[in-house]
Amino acid sequence: MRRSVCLCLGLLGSAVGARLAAAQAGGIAGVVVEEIAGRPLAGVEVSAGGVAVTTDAEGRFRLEGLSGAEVVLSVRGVGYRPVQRTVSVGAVDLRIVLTRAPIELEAVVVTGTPGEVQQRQVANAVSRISGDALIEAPVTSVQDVLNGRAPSVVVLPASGNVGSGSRLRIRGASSPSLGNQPLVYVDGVRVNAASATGPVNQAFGSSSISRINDLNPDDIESIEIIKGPAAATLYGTEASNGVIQIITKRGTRGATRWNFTARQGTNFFSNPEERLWVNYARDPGTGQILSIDLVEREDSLGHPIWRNGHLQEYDLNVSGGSDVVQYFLGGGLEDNEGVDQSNDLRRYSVRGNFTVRPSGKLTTALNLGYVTGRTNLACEAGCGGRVWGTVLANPLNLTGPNASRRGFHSGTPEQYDLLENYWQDLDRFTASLQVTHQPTSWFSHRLNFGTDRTREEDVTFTPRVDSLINHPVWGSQPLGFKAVNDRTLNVTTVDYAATATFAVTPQVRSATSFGGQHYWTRDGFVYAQGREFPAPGLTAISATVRDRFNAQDFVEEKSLGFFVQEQIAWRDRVFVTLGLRSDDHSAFGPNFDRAYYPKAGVSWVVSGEPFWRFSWLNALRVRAAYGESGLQPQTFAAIRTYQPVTGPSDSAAVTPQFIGNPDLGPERGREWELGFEASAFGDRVGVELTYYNKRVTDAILERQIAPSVGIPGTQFFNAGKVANRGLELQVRGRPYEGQRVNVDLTFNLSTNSNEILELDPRDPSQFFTPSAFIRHQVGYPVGSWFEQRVLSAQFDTLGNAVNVMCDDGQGGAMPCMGANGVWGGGDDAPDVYLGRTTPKVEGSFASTITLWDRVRISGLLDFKTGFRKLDGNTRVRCPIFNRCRENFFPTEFDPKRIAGIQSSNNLVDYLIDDASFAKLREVSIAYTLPDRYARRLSASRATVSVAGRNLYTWTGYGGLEPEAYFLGGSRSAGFSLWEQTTIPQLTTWVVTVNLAF
Amino acid sequence: MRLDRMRAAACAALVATLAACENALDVESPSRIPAELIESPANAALLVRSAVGDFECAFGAYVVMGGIVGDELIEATQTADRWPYDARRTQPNDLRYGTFGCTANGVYTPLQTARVSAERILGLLQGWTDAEVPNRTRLMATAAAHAGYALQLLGEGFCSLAVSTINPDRSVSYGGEISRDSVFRLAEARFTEAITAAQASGTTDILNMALVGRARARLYRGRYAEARADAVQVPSTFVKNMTASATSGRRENRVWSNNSATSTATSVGDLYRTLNDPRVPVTNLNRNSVTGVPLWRQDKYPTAGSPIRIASGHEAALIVAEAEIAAGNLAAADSIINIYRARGNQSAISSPDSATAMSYLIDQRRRELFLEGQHLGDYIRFQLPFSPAVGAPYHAGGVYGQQRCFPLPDVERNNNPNL
Repeated sequence: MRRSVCLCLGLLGSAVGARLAAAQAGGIAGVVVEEIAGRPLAGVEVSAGGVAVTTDAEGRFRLEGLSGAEVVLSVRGVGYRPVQRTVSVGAVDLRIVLTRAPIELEAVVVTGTPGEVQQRQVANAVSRISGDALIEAPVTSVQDVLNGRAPSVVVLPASGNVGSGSRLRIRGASSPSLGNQPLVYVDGVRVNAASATGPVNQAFGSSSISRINDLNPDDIESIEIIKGPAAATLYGTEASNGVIQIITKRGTRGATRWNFTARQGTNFFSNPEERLWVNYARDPGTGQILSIDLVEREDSLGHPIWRNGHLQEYDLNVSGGSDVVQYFLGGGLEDNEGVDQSNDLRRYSVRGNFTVRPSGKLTTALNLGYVTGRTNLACEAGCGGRVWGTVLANPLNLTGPNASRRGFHSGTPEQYDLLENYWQDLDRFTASLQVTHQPTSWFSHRLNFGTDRTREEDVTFTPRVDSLINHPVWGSQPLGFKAVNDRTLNVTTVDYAATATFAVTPQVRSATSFGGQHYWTRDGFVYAQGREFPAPGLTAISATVRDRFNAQDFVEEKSLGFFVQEQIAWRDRVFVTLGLRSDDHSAFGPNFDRAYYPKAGVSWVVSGEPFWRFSWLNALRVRAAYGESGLQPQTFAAIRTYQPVTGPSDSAAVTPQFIGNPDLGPERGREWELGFEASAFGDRVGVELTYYNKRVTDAILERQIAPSVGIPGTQFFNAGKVANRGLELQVRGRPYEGQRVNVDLTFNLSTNSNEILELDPRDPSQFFTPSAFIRHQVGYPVGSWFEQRVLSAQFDTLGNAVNVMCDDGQGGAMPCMGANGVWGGGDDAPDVYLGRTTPKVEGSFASTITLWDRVRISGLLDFKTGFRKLDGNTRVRCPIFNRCRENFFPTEFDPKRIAGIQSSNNLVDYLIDDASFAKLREVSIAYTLPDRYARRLSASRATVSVAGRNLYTWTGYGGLEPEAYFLGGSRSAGFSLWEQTTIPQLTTWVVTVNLAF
Repeated sequence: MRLDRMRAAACAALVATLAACENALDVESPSRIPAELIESPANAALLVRSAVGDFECAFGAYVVMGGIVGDELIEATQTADRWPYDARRTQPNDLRYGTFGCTANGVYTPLQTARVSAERILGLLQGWTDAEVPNRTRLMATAAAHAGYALQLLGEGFCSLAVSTINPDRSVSYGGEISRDSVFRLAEARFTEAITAAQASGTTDILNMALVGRARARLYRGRYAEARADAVQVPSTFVKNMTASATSGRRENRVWSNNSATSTATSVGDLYRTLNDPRVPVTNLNRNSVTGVPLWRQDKYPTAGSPIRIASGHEAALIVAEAEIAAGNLAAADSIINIYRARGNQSAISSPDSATAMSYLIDQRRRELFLEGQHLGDYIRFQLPFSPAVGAPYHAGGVYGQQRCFPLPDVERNNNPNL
């Protein structure tokens, strides 16, 4: 006790002494913090009265030797708005809050460049998302981070299942037949970012887990996004769809700092009573029309169909270091429950990032990340499950022989929970070693070696449940089944780049860069399955008694590329860049040689010119860039192959597999972009505008081989041309700035105009069909909806739609069935363009109101328009299972809609609905506690926030959820947006506590 | 001097890098076989065996889908894309029959693959020599017979067809749309090739298989006398089976996969439930499917490895009987029919006229050849009555249609430049 008192007195004495010393010597002291969460900022320049210092790792500064009673304090940090404030000499507890600058010309960019450069030197747009913004936001995955925060980066979530993924598109879709996902790098290493992995829980071959979500958002320092060939040339073949680089947190020199974040929250299905439908059926005995509102019925019985899932996350990290060694160590636990009883995610992640600078010439960075855990997915969509059973609720299943179904279409939720089990166990290790060497002042080079190893164990499991064997719904399934797909995917990156700089003249500097990259991907699996357990309780495939099957295989692909780049800088204001990359790839056909991709760009910081006289316009940079990159064909697409099969009498045999194409080369994306960034009115408003024009030539098309040729499957070939054009606008501003209240607004908007210019010139039809209702057709966007369009219909006296007329494709109308009155008779009305599958316009509006520098109220609203989805819920309810009101009271509805419902699925245009929506995506209120309260928690700072996600949707879409569809499989084909009894996006509320020590 | 060293080192590094690059893009291919490696005389027997395997898998799927369209089976799942076949509403854009593989009950693509696999190796064998390929003629007989059967089934089940070929230089000659009769002509020609080669090589089972096949093709062309001439050469004990096993999904008896003790994807059609004929063994499961279909199990194929007859002496005898009816020899036809009625515990009959005799014959064909891929052809050829009737409510929604044959699928029309 005495010792504690002494210690306290000592500390008090020291503090008072320091305060007196500062005052007597004419000094000031304080701390510089980031606005969001009050994070201290290191390396910020603080000056006053001709004295300047930089803040230490704790954001602290001290200026001595000042004269007078007051001085003007100037604080400048890269990427932040400068602050000037008149302060009293002697003040030692100043707290300077910096806010992000609306444009960041001095910020360091590492993506799409040979090394670290300032953004002012880069001729293309680079979108950056700061990890700081994530602390208080209700985000639990990387896709949440990307959504609505960068123009032209379109995130299309596919399911509300916790742990499920999304489709990512940057600047629209360019490839009709290959993937349109961007490349993803973590700390310079290419990583597995597959969008649809895991067990097939949506049926029709559709899996729903995205690998990009494996990274813990708490580990993210920032994300850089370059959006097309103009920027991605140095990434060569495979980069045509853009590149997302995730940069993880690193330690900085200084004392050890701990950071702890805890989140507690809930996920729930918002308002199912209003969003799901009342269903109908006719009693076969009485002829009476019955109805059922199953959601309300189950609620009233005391067992709601969906639960409120509990969400909890804990992240702890520690960082610090000396001049020689810096470290960041972090770990996290995510335990997240979905609304379906069988859906949850439990994941553990650890990260260790180390930087060693043994000398001023050598820097070695080692980044290690590991994540493990299990995702249990609910059966949904084509698989069945709660949404299936409810969307198709049947009043006839309330009584009689099917009364045990309680009105659900097929199995009850409890039966699904018991029998339909899908999970993925994940082990993923990502490591990179980057060695940067600068032997002389004019030469530096770096070698980046990394590996990303993902091991998934995807399991589909049905236990033996004797009580359900031969149940009308389940048949023999309850005898048991298990399938395990053990998949391992390794991506290895070797990346070397060197840059030599020298001054040509005092005003002209040259930077010559060259390098090469080698990527090696190996994707292998071991699969086993078995059916029927002889007794309950058995769970191993070895315990099954029939339909045993196993398989093992792997696929490799490799690429090797080299580049050279020259950048000329004139007076550090004009930067001209020229570059060339050459690539070879294991998937290129034997008749195809290397691919070459040039690039050129110019960046001009106009506001740096002596003639610049517009004081209200603080900064202006204009830029133009042209570049090319590619997209490689699929492995083995070039060669005609057979595959081994079991032949007659179980002998060894082969069967034709692919027809191949020896002339196959990569798609070539050519893009130019123009843009500018400007900030005005004391950096209170920033505008970034980019126009891009991208043209893909030699687009790889996948044509179905006419089966009469005798080789099943498809053939890839280079023939198509696709154009993408659009605008990207980002406006950031602080329309109101006061002593106690600040208002910040950010508006993102991007447009995308997409058109197929050319397809196989030998094909007179000039279109092909990758999946049902989807067509790639010249003159229309890639992956468009094409079906017959009903123009008019009438009712007869029985409520049947008659005189159903369709668009004849030439501006007129004709009978949908043609003159012969028979579907498929050869003279049906043609399929016509109905709409896009990717949004034409998307954007977001974010605002933050800051009160007393400590309270932040933030909101993010995003929107997507100009695209259509297939409402498969209506498809299964109305024309297939006849449970809609339209089936029984048709004259209450539009006869065109009834014509579709009564057409035995021949007319589907009424299902392909405008899916435009705006969503109140995020709302949060955060409070950074005064330091004295933080200290009571033994913390240096503390922030508490309450945040909600997916709070309200404005849409005219007739389905259940505009953000739900088959992510993979035959009903996706990379384009289709086909929703069918998919769990909608969940509403989440979460409380976050962030403590720094 | 120092600069020279640096240049030398740089050159050495460049050479080393380029040397390493030579192999930098080599990848392993552990499960794919480049065509140029396998299409050689040394692999002739393997390729013929493979063509037979392609046919067997396609045949199994055809038996199921033909059975569903032809009312031998009733669809019982809630998978909507399987319903059009049962409801006789098949559309050209339906994927399952058009593009799916044989293990998923695809029909068109697997049968075309089987045809081309057999014709491809047949063409290669014709270009190779006896010195290069042991038993070349026997292999040619096998390939031709299976090509003939693939064509025959395509002709029976489809409303029209396209027949393309891969030329020796691997270019493709696309075929235009041809009638069913034209397909039977092509099948007949293949069977004739098979018969010639089988006779030359003394391959009895292929000879009989091809004779039954040619008789079947001629029957469909209305050339009864020639059909009879082939059929009478076939011993009554002859059986040529599609082999099956539980080894892999591809090898399973496809009927068993869709209707058995462990699968209720289909039920047995109404007309086959109460025949009390040992050739049509069925069991009432006394429960309904999820879509309300009363479930009946076929017991003709009790295991995944149960074989399915492709051709047999019994089929040949029934072809002879049909030819006798066509020739007006009702007594001769009745004597054959009565043999088969006895097999089904039915009393003997005496046909007063050709129409009655035909009805007895058709009845025996549907019993004797139950779930053997014959009934869809009969259903179309004899214009058998629809059961249930056209316009009757379909259990999963909508009504029954009148589509008997599979239309030429869109996957062919959209990708064949000659269509």
